[in-house]
Amino acid sequence: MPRIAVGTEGEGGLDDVVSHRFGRAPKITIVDVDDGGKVVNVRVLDNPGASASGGAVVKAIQVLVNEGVDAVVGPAFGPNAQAILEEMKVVNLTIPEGTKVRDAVEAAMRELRSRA
Amino acid sequence: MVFEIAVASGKGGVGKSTLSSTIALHLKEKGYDVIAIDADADAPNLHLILEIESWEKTEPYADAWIAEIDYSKCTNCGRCLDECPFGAVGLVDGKFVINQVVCEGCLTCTLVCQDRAIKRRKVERGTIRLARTAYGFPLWTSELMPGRPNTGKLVTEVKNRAREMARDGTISVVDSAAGIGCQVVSSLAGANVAVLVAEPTATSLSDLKRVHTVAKQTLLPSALVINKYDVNPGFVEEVLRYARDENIDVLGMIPYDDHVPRAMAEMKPLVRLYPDAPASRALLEVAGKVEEIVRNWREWSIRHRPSRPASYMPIVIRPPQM
Amino acid sequence: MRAAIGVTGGKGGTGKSMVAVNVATLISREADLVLADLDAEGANDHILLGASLENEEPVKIMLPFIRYKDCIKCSACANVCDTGAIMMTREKLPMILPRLCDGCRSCLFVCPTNAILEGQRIVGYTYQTKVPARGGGSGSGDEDRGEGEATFTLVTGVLREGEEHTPPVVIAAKRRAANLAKDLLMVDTGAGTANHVAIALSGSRLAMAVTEPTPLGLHDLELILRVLEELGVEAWVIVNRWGIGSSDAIAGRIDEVARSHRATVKARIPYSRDVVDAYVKGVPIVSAMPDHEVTRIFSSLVRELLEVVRGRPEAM
Repeated sequence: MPRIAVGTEGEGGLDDVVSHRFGRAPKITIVDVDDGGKVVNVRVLDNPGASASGGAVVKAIQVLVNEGVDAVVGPAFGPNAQAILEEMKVVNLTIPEGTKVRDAVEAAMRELRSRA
Repeated sequence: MVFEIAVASGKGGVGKSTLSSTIALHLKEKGYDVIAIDADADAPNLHLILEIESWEKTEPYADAWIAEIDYSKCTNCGRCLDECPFGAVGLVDGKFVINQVVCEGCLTCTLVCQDRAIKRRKVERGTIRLARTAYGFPLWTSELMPGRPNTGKLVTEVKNRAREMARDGTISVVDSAAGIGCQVVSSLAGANVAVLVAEPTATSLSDLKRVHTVAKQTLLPSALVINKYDVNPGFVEEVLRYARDENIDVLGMIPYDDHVPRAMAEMKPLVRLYPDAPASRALLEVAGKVEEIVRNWREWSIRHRPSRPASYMPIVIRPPQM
Repeated sequence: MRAAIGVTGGKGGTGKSMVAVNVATLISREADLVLADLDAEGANDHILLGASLENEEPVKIMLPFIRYKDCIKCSACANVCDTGAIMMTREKLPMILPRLCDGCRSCLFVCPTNAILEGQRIVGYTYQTKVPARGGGSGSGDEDRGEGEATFTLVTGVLREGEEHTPPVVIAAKRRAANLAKDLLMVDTGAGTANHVAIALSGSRLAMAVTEPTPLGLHDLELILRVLEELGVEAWVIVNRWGIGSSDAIAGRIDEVARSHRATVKARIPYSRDVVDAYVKGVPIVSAMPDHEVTRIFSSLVRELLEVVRGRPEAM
């Protein structure tokens, strides 16, 4: 059952929007989706990267690793972050900022299924 | 979601603060919600250009650590001096002393001390302040205690504060420090566009190339303003050539103008005090171009993405055993 | 080395490097001098002297490497890392992120199985160039050098773009310069008042704080004088670009600030087109225009400097 993470700007959750910058998004919304595409669980975590000095995106990615996230959805990551995500085996899917989280998750599921 | 404009240059004294304040004033006048951020934490100047109506908040910045030796436990083994990676421990009158100015607060000496005599503690390293300018927008500024490290962290903290108060569509104008170190990297991090300022001199071009390289490392699209172009017109072409090669959007050139230091002496923004001065007109034209970038950012940023992205590659030397 | 003289300013662009290269050029005609350009983020002295950067040596800091066969996946290294340079993978193995590492070595000391080895990372370079005291040219081509022409050594520190931590490069360049300096060392610092500037100035006999007659210059002068006071370095204030804006109005406040920090205003260098021209040509004005008013001001400043560092009045 895929676990998808989104950096979110507001309170988090399915009705929030994708943040323009994952590393410094105030919250990370983690969504578990069953293979049928139905949302099974939604959690919102504080992003340690939001208040970090250097390496904000690193701290945010560590959360993804610790939480066993399979894919992170958001606008394009910088080259350093992309390399880390690859190393950590977290799939990176590009989606415009401002997209509603539930739409972003749906798009992510379609993408993951097409890659499978 | 905040739209961030970072103004940088590499070289000091080329007109970053004058340009930043002009951009902020112009955007505010055009109806945008603006926040100005002075990210030159060890020599902040923006509050001297933008008339301050009132200081709303002053907070101590206490997110820094230093190490301290408990002399009642210290047996003078000297391991702290041997192992300190930053040379912050000295021997003064037979006693080991940690230099407050150099100590970066890492954990090393606390770990190597055989007497467990060293502890870290949080110290106040500066202040973060919020001011209301006379132009209807706020200014976040910070001042680091002179001589101390960690300016990068302080800049990040100030930017985070500004982000907290931002609404959808807010534009923050970040006036960065000179150089390319942690302060500037923090200033550029998370920005949507880097507006770089240079004078037509070999020294300024050298520093421009360096700060632009840093901007490229995070795929930041850049624009360029050439200041005091008439002081050395023969060199302007060389600067423009670099901009062309690197796909940097040249926004305009500003002439040398005695009104600039005169306005500084009055501690008022140039474009308000002498709106018809040659430099003012040129600066306002540039500010207009910046507004266009804000309006068409997605398209503009694709057009001006670094033509030769240069991601940071560390140069490492493996240990002999590996 | 007998004494170090600092050149600093607080505000960027006040003319630190211009003052440094001119004073260094004049001093080196009478004394052995090494000029250390410790503005590692934006080193420019070599450009103002028309010199090239030669004799490159890397500046290295410690970088940890994990010997995975000895790693017991305890995460102690990742937990102790202050800068977030160690991440734990899904398999709970530590992964080093070189750019974020500041070489503090805490991870080395906490690893229970000594699974961390010391490698290195290059964060910048130092250079060493011989500069003729007449200005212009590099050290290696001796074509224009007359017999017995005065030269001085320029040591330059350059931080690699993308590296954030300036002090190690400043320290390495300062050390290289100090090792070469038989008599006098001059250190040209970066802009601002952060710790890499304090490190550059530390141990100096005196420092010239170069400012400009504007409220911004004054504000930053106050900050740099505080640094010098804390370091116990005698401070001389040099007001550059005298004549721009409303210099006279601010003169009094500069004097005041200097006095309140036990510093002395030693010179006012007038804003002059000639200085700008020399600057863009890459020849110090004291070489290009020996009879210029500004050259006279520098000569008198240097006489006073030498008196102080040599502890006796100089022959005129």
